[in-house]
This record gives sequence, C-alpha cells and structure tokens, in this order.
Amino acid sequence: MRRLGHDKQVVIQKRIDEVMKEEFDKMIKESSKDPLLRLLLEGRIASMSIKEIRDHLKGKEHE
Amino acid sequence: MNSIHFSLIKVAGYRGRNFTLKTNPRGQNTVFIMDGNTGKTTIIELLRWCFGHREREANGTFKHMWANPAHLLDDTKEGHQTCEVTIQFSALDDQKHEHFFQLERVAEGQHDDTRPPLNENISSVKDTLEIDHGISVLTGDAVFDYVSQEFRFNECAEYFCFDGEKAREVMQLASDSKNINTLLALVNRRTTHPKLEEYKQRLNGLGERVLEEAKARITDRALELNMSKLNGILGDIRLAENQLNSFDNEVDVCRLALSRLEDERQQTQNQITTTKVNELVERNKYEVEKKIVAERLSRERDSIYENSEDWISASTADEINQIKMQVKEKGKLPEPYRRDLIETCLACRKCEICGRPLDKTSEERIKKLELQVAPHSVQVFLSSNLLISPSSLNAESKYNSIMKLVAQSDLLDVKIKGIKLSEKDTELIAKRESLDKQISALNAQIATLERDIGDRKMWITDLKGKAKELQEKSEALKENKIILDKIDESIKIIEDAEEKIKNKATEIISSVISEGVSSILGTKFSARFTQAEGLMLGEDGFYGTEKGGYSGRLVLSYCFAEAMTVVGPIIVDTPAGNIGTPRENLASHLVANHNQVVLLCLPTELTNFANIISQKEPITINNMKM
Repeated sequence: MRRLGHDKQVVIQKRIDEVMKEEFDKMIKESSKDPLLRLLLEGRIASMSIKEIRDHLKGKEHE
Repeated sequence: MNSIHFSLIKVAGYRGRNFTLKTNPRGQNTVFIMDGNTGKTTIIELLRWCFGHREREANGTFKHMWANPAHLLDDTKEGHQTCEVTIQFSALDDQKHEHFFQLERVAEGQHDDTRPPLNENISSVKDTLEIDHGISVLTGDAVFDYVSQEFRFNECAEYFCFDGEKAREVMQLASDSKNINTLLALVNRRTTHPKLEEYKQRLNGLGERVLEEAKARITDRALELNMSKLNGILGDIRLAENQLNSFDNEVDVCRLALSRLEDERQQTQNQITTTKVNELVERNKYEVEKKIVAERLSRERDSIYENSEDWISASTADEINQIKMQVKEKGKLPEPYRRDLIETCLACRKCEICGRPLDKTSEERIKKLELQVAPHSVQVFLSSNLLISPSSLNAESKYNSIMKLVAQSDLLDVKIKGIKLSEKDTELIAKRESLDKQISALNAQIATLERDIGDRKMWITDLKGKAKELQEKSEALKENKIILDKIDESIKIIEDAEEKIKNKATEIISSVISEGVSSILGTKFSARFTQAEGLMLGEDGFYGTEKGGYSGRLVLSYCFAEAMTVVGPIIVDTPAGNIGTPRENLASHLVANHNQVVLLCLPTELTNFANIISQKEPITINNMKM
C-alpha cells in the first residue's frame, strides 16, 4: 500500500505549501524589476506619502 | 504543531441522548460499532459544527443530514436544557512534546413550539478551550481562531470528518460538468496564498489613497464632480463584484441541491418504473402519455401566439391604420422635436434656434416640452402603414386540433384517477410530484441567478470602462497616473503568481487523488483533476464522469476528501457499505495514509474492513436516551 508520507501524515498540504513558497519566492525575485511591488514587500508603502511614492517611482523610471 | 490525535468525543444532551467515544492511545486506530440510528452521522455533524463555525456564528448553523438548520435539543422535554460537545485531542510540537487540548461547546435553550421550523429556542452557545490541562484557557471566538490557526480544522472539517452523505455530494459534484466551478472553488480556496491576497488588498488601498488625495486638492467644481462620479463608480464596481461573488456562490449551492433532487427523483422514478404492481405501471404509462399530450398542447398553443399576425385580417389592418392616423393628428403629440436640441437649450440656458436667453417661464415650458416628446420609434410607428397579408390562420382546424388534445388529456386524467393505488404507491407518486415542484423552482432560481450574473458582468465591464475614461480625463489624477499604472502592473504580477500556484496545486491534488485511486482500485484505475474538466475517474487511461461504477466513484470521492484534508486523522462513518470488493484495499489505504483512523461502523462492516483498521477489540457504543 502506497503511503503519502513516512510519518503517516497526509502530506499533500506540505506539497502545496512548497509550491506556494516556490512561486512566492519567484515572484519576490521578479519584483526587483517592479519598484512598487518592491516598496510593498519592504513594508514601506504605509509610511510614505503619495508624493514620496510618486517621486520614488519617477526616479526609478529614469534610472 | 502536528500529529494530531483525537482521544475523546463526548456528547451530552443532544436531542436527549448521550455518547462517549474514547479512542485507543496515540499510535492506534479505533473502531466503534454503532448500529443504525445510534448517532454516527450526529458525531460527524457535531464535529463539523464545532470546528467549522466560531461561537458567534454557531447559533442556527448546526445541520444534520438534510435538515439545515437542524435542532439540537430534546423536543419531548420541557424547560431548560443543554447540549454539550467535548472534544479532547493532543498534538506534538516541533520538539515532539505532546500538548493536550479540550474543546467544549455548550448550547443552552429550551424546546419551544412557537418557533417553527426547529421548535426550539437556543439562548446561548459558549465555547471553551483548555490547553495543557488548564495552563491556558480560551473562551468565545478565540477558541475557533486558535484551533483554526494552529490546526486548520476549519479548512477541512467537511473532509476529515467524512460520511456517506459527503461522499455522495462529492460523487455528484464530480459527475456533472456544470459543477466544475464548485469543485474548483474548493481547491482554489485551499490554494489561495494569504500573503498574496494581503498584498493585493494593500495595493488597492494605495489606489484609494491616491484618489482621496486627488479629491482633497481639487478646487474646481467640475473636477470635483468628476471625482465624485469616479468614486461612485468605483464603489459600484466593488458592490457589483460582491454581488457577483454572492450570486456565483448561490448558483453553486442551487446546482448542488438540484443535482441531489434530480438524483432522488430518478431513484423515485426507478422505484415507480420497476415496481411489480401492475396498477402503478399502468398509471405511470398514462402519466407519460399525458405528459406527451400536454407538450403537444403547449406547442399548438404557442404556435398560435408565435404567428399572432395571422389573427389580423386585411380589414383589421385598415382600422388599425385609421386609429394610428387619429393618434398622430389629434392625439396632441407634438412634432418630433430632437431631444438633443432641448437638452442643449436647457444646458446653455438659451434658445438654440433664435439665440435668445431663456427666462424662467420659457425654461419651464421647454422642460414640459421635453416630457411631451414622443420617442422617435413611436413617431416612426405612427407614420408607417400597417400592411397585413391575407390571413393564413385556419382557426377552426386549430381549435379542433387543440380540443382533440384537451379531450385526450381529460380521458387520460379519468384513467389515472380510476386506478386505485396502495398507500405506498400513492406516497411514491406524491413524492415524485413534490420533487418535480422543487426541481422546477430550483431551475427557475438558477435561471434568474444566471441572468443576474450576466447583468452584473456587463455592468462591471461598463463601469470599468467609465472609470478608466474618468481617470484619464481627470487632471488631478494625471500627476499620480504613474502610481495607478504601477498598481495595475503589480497586481498583474501577483495574479500571475496566484494562477501559477493554482495550476501547480491542482496538478498535485490530481496526482495524489490518482495515487489513492490506483492503490485502492488497482493499477488500471487512475484519476484526473483539471481546471477545465473537473474530477474524473480513469480506466485503462480513458477518463470520464461515468467510469468505475458506484463503487469506483465512491472510492474517488474518498480520495478527493483525503486530498482536501490538511490534518492527519480521519473520522469516518460507515464507509464500507457500498464499496464492494475494494473494501479491504480502502481499509489498508486509510491505515497507511492517516496517523489516526476513527471508524464509526455498522456491525456488518466488521469483517474484511474494521479488522484491518484496527486489530484491537472494537468498542460497542450504546446510545442511551436520558
């Protein structure tokens, strides 16, 4: 009888969690090209004013 | 924490009954022998209720088999009563230390004939969670929040507590392509990344901040109006999207209910058709004939209305044309003013024909004029001549053919009424009629919901177009356009990641279900779960919604349930009944894949099933009424 896991736990969620993590990490890696996503991941958006965000994005565009 | 082990499930006062299920120690499975109507399903439903609903939502959410909501208290007992459910379990932390939990839910109330349909009044439901024998105690919604976060019981209570009803539901979902969305919704809920959802919300929040700030800085009245309009539209989009979601969910629920009713109707019909009672067979024959006659009658009648122009003769057309002329000439309808001319006059407050400014009286007159303007289509209709070709309706022959069908139907009615049926047969017929009514009502409800869904989708597309246009027009937003554009781009990146996760997770779920099916039914069987086709059983590499027979589909539903659960134990009610030969394999599969199997079984399931789940002596449960 085939087992899903060595410790008799149902491991499907672990496998799904792994995929989630893998895709999430990939997205974070790709986000370095997306300045707004970068700000979001660094948790800086809430503390910045709209003007600061705008200037930041404009600055990145000219880089 | 993981390696959950259930040690005790105790029910006191549920509809006047008490049960205590004490399982074997950690590492061992347990078999409880419970005969019919002794509380197997009740235990499953009570566990789902405790794990699936927080305290504040618990009152009125307990369901039992087909009753939703279902009653908890004893309807033969007067005065104050309680129904208590106690669940004891333990789990291991990362250092393999065992921690103990006791979850208790107490519902208080009394039987009350004045409160149909349940006839009971639950005054309170209270939850308590004791951790490590009282070192920490939680109460209220905190209990649900804790066990949901720590063990994710809420996500899978429907599946790790598994019974025949749930298996039937999964089988129905998997058998009909219309149910794909419901199945996918279950999987998608499972594969939604909480962080990604949070990021999307934050980005949407930033979009709202940009709009708010732009609105606050606007001094120009027209721009302000523009912004208010935009805000209104964005609010409408949110509203329409919420409505769309709720309609989608409602349709899923209706489809599931419909599929159950159709199944039940088919079973009733089979009973009627296969009955050995001649009278019932004859009655059924007449009923089928009557249905055919009714359909022909309906078609005949419809055809008269479909060709309604045939009713009117050429002389009637002359009369209609005269009436139209009279309405046009004397019916006080003015010449067809152009609506845009009136609107421009009112907007510019000057006459667009002579150029004079409008005083109050003229403005009022023009407003009245606007109300009097007949739409262009009416003017065209009144000006055109009605042309009728000579009538092709043979009224007498139509009448005769309809009357013949009516007579046929009446005769069949007399024949049907003339057949004497036994009480049981009458019940079957009444049941089928009642099911027909319910099916027809559900179909109508689904049709309405689908129309509403279509309307909302069109509304959303229209609103999004308008919002985009207003955003582009708005000067105040132009300088922040870069932020709004970037929000769209970032959301797109997140949604792409979510899509990839969903597709990969679906592949994993598919392969796990397939592994399970092969291990129970044999290697010639497999399963496939895709976003496009839903859940299908395969035999020798050919997949379909009807493969495998009842037994195979039951096994498929078990494997689906296993794939949907996120905890180790599985608590199953009467699983072997309809499985047939693969029951031994199912038992071995359950033992191999779960760290604890709690089996609630009938005495008939002991051989070749329960003995594989556990070699320990089965525990007989005597369900006592207080």
